[in-house]
Amino acid sequence: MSEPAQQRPPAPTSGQATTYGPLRVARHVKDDGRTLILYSRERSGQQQAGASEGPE
Amino acid sequence: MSELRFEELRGEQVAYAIQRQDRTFLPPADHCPLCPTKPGGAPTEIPLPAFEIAVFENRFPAFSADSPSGGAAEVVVYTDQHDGSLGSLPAGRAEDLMWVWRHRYLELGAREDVGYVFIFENRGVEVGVTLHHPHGQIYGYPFLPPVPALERAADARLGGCAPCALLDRELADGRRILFENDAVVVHVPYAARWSYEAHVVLREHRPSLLECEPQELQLLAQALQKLVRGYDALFTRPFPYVMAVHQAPTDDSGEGHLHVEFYPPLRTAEKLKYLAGSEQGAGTFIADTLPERSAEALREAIARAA
Repeated sequence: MSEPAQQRPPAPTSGQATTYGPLRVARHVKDDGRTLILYSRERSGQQQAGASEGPE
Repeated sequence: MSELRFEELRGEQVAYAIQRQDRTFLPPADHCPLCPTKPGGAPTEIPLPAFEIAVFENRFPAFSADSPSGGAAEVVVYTDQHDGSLGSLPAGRAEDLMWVWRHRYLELGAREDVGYVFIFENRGVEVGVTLHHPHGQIYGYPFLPPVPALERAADARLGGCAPCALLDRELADGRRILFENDAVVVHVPYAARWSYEAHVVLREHRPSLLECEPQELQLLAQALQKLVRGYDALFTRPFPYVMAVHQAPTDDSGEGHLHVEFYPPLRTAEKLKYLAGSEQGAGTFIADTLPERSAEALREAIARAA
């Protein structure tokens, strides 16, 4: 299992946002280089918390 | 960095991932690495104030693209809420999880270093859980592991899709059926190894989540949640299990039939089934309960939980 880094990591670098089925897929790169993918339900006219962090 | 060694006597791979010895072990809730990072709080794997479903590469992977053997190890966090379970998720979130599984199967299965995408969940300290936050995992094995290989051998032995044939048998018998909907049948298998083992099987021949219609994904999610809630009602306690999603290999070594197997270690409210001499040394399960009686108890529990 994973564990937290010792220091508070910066917000992940935002990458490409796409869709898959009913989901919005937002890819980020964590400060240690690992990939973080945030999935959220597509809602018209509404951005998801988290997935909206940083420039897309 | 993990390493594969082939165990000749059993004819199977053993993965050495010694870095996992240092992974987080049952932290207090306010240091949960799967919670969103809160202002002023402890850092977590998801450095955002909120999220719906998050997937990330395991910090202590059993398999990874960086290792000589390749492969993948991902963590799937079902919710940003620390308490709960697959069974207690809102229905829409559980349905979304099916789409996430499908997307990961698609992407990991497309990799040349992944031969089998295995989605699973360990629930409860009884099966070795180290974090209580609702989550599952995905391993991308760089080879076809023994259990799915045995399922493909069953296809050959039965002259076609084994899960299709076995589902027909279960439906004809009926005694071990727990419940059904338009897309899936949930039953205790004829030769269950665990006292309350259950299989969730797609009615139609779907090799993987990729072939499922959206309505089937929705009904699969409903069935998984209904079963887990029934499990929790059986002994009026959170019910530990290993949940294994079996799908087609992604290395063209054969087909498959999407089904989800649950292996609960409890044989009574307080007693665990241990894998001991016969199971480990000879490979033969000695079961303490009859599947038909377990099915009766589970049907009652599922009705209570409804």
